[in-house]
Amino acid sequence: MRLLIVEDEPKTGDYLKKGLAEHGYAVEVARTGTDGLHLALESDFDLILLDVMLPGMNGWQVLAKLREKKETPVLFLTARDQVDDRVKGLDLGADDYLIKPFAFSELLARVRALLKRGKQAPADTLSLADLEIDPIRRRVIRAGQRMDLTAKEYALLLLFLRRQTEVLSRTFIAEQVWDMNFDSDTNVVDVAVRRLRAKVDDPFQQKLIHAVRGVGYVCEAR
Amino acid sequence: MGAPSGPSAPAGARFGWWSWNSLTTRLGALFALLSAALLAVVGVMLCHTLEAELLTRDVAELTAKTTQLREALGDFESVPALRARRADFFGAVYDSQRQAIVVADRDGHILLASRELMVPPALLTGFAGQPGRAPQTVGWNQHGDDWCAVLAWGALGQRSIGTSAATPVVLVVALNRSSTNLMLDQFYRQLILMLVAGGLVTSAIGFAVAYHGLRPLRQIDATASAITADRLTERLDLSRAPDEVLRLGASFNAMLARLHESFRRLSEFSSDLAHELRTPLNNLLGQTHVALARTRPPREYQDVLESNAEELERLRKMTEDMLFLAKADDPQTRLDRQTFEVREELDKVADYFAVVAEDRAVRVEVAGAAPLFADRRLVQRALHNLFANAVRHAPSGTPVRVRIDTATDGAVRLSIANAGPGIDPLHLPRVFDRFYRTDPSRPDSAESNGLGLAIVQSIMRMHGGLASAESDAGGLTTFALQFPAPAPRG
Repeated sequence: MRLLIVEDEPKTGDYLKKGLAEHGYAVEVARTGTDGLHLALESDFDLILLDVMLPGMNGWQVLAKLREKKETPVLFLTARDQVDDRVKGLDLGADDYLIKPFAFSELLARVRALLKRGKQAPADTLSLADLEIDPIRRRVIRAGQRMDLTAKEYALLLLFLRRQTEVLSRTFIAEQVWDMNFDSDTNVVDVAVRRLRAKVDDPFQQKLIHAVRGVGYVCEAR
Repeated sequence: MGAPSGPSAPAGARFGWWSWNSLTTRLGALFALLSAALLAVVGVMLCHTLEAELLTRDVAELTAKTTQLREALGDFESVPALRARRADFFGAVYDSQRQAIVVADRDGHILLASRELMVPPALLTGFAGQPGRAPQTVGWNQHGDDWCAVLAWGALGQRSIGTSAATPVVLVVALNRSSTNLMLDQFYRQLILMLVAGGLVTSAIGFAVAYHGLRPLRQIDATASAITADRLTERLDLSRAPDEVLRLGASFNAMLARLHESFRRLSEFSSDLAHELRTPLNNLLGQTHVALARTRPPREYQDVLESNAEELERLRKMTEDMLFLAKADDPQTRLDRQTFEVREELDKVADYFAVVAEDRAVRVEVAGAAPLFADRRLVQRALHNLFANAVRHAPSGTPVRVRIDTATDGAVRLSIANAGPGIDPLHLPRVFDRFYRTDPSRPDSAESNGLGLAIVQSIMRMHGGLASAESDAGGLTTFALQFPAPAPRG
């Protein structure tokens, strides 16, 4: 998967490149809008991460020029006061947007979602190690034992299994499971995950849900 | 007229007291104009009356003289006798300078004249052609002199015994009014001089009175000019202000008080903000420096980075909230309003907090339902913050009661009540202030950044509504969100 980052702030560009490369993406960085547009038109990328405030040519202009020729998915990176209705409605042809400052795990989740879009049909069953979910019958089985979960615990586990190995931020979890559309500064997610782990992980030797300090939670077989 | 203030003039420039736009100039000019007009009217009336009075007196003098002379005519039996004794006829009171006496016959021929007088012949013959006519007053101008005369019929020899018939003659008694006119002219000149002087004096007085009367305005100006951010405590002294200025001054003082309060809150907010930022920044800087001071095993670096990530997350969240508040203050910010069932959002938020509430053995009870026309995401956020607050403070085993009430006009009121320690009435008005915490030791700062309720209030203001808090003696604390009735659509 090839990604293009168009970002003029050097540190941001560098850490984004490093982080995404470590997650297996081939990443190129352009420091100006003009360079970015040139690169995007010259070669084929799977996704473009586009900053709005750029020297030379701003993000809107780059996107408008790009859309004349190509349909490469674009994820806008923007500061709060630059989010206007054009981005919210995404009617310029951007595919998603992320408000700075953002958590890297958040960015990763959105990048994955955009790259997967329309390419993967939901699996019949989801599984990890000896844990298995049947989404159609809403059944959870671990080591042959059926687990009794509440609706929200089930939704939370389903999210973890669908996003295996991804570190999920608390904000992302709150948004996906409870439809909370903003940063909640409460410990609700922690409490909910703790309860889920008590049912799904505590009775078993192998732990599947892990806390990543300072970031969020990840579900993987270690 | 006046000096029009050009576009380059600074908006806050001091009053130009002599420009046409100044009240002093206008009041003074008005006063001057009025007094000049009044004096002019009085002057004209005075002249008119004087002139008429003098004329009346002159005519009366002439009439009296005429009567006297007509009687005297009877003492002379013939024209030659009259001519011979003319001095007797003219009499002692005759003033040869001002007066003239003429006697003419029935054809208008002059028989006798006290001086070379020149009654216009047309006048004389005209009167002579009408025997027995009543006395007539006439006037004319001769060699620059104004004459006034009474023409009357008289008869010679009426009183002498033995004469067969009296001889009718025309008697003309004239008065030279030039000296009167001269006197009037002089009077006019003096009057005009006095009027001009009087006008000038009253104008000056008018300006002085206006200038003095407007002194409180200049004081306001001076005080307002002296007010800067560090002198917001300055107030106008209204102890001697006239009524008109008193209200203006009171409004001005009230405005200053409001400004002072806002400014105080703002600077408190700034210092709070600095304080809030200092703690995480201190931690970040400190532990990073300690970590870098020597080489460590990777696990220790990881620890530091994880701890940094937590602090940074707090900073990010705070920045986010601050930006939200700044944006909410911007009147340009538009709301994404839609009509939705507010109960749905309440249930969603209640559901979100369900696990925490259960952990604390707090029951959440929701009652009522109402459609609401508002920004759904923002309402969710406000409800979330109030729920977080209520669940955090409710003691174990007590309920958090949420009610939705609709007024007849469609206004919706949401209230969230929880038992607990209650809020001191002292703190109640300020719980919605940014970074305001009822407990200064801030034991819960890890969980809340002190902006939650400020955000609630901002969201309500954006909707034209109001957030309020009350706390009763029993410790029951109620937060209410009052949404205004939807504007009728037409």
